This record gives sequence, C-alpha cells and structure tokens, in this order.
Amino acid sequence: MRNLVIEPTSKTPKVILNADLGIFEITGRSIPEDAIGFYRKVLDWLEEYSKSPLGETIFKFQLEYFNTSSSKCLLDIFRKLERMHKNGHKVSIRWHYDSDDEDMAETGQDYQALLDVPFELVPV
Amino acid sequence: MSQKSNTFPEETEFLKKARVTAEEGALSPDQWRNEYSVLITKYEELLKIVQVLTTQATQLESKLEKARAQLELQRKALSFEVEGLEKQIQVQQKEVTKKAQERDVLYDQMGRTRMMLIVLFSVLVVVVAFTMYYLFIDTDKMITFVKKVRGIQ
Repeated sequence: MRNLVIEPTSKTPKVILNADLGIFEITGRSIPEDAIGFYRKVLDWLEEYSKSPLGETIFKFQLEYFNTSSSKCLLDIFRKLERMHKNGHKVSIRWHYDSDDEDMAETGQDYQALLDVPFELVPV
Repeated sequence: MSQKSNTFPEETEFLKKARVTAEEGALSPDQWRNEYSVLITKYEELLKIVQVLTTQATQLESKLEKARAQLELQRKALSFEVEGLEKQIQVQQKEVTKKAQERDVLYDQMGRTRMMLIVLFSVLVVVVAFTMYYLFIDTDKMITFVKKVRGIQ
C-alpha cells in the first residue's frame, strides 16, 4: 500500500500516513473551508489500510488550531480507528497539545471520553 | 445538501435508510425493535458528537473574541500613535512654512539691496566718467568750473 503524504498549507495540516511503519501523523493547523473534501483522502486511505493493518498502528495528532468542520472529520477518523481497535487490531491515538493550551487539552479529553480506543494525551 | 457542505455524510446516509425503512413499514415487531435500537444508538452517538462540537465551537468563539479584543486594543494604540504623528507633521509643516516665509523676506531684502548697489555703482560710474572726461579731455571747462566754484575770475 502506498504511503499518503500531504504537504501543509496555511489552512490545512501536514498529513503523513506511513503504511510501512504503521505510524500516522496529522500536524499543524486545520481550517479548510471544505474540510470534508480535504479529509476524504485520509478517510479513504484509512478505510483501505484498515482492511489489512500492521500489528500496531499509532496515530499522532498535533494540531494548533482547527475549525468545527475539521473537528467532525477528526471524529470520523477516530471512529475508523475505534472500529479497527474493536476488530482486534492494536491501535492507539496520541493527542499532542501545547501545555499552555488548556482548550486543546480539554478538546483531547472530550474526544477521549467519546471513544473506546486507547487515547493518550501528550502535553508538549 | 451539497456534498461539499455536508459535514455529516454518514449520518445523512443513515437517516435516508431509516426513512426508507419507516416508509416501507413491512417489518415484524422484533425487526422494528431492532431498527429502533440502532436508531437510539446512532442518535446517542450523534448527540455526543454535537455536544463535543458545540463545546469546541464555544471555545473557538471565545478565542476569536479574545483575538478581536486584542486587535481592538492594538487598533486604538495605533490610532493614538497615528494621531500623535499627524500632530507632529502639522507642527513641522507650520515650521517649514514659517521658514519659507522668512526665506522669502530675506530674498526680498537681498533683491532691494542688490538693486541699490547697482544704482549706486551706476551713479558712481557716471560721476567718475564725467570727472575723468573733464580732467583729461576737456580740462579748460574743468578749470573754468573750479574757478567759478571758488569765485575766481
């Protein structure tokens, strides 16, 4: 399976989905007008990956700012990872946030409470 | 709803299917119970998502409001600074105008002085020319003139 790499812009984050290592990253700022359009590529790629994932999958999120539409897309990604976890695959989510950013920490906690998948909050 | 603006594509799809199921209605009580149970689960899930999104939207609004207030403060500070600079420019413009007026007065005086010097020089040249003429060319007239002035016949 080919890796998916999307370079960041002023409105979209950097995306690295490395199928060889099972390590995925979304970093930066996510405020696209068409968040669904942007994250569809990620969701489609994940759907394909979830058919035969590696022994362990780690998804790292490090977002400085994102809009509400992106938040819904992140939830869709989390749900996919949750499904993989429920299907018996080892999946973990790491929510990196600026230790000064209480809102981002709170957002991570909200997601954590909503999901049934290992979800680690990592202050940086 | 267009695909671009639909942030809830899966939920919309589920709703469509649920609507079709309800309209067809050909289900046994057990199947209804099952469908209803799925609907409750989906509704519960959606409610949680909406709660999370609402909380985040409120946080974003709060951040935006803070940013707006900060911008307003900066705008006021800039406005104050611009006002000060404008006053400085006005003062300097007045100063420049005053200096220009002083320069004009000075130029006027210099012009008048120059003119006076030219007239004096011209008079001097005429006097010298006459004197030279009578001294060296028409000496008799000069002697007569001097004698006349001194009262000598």
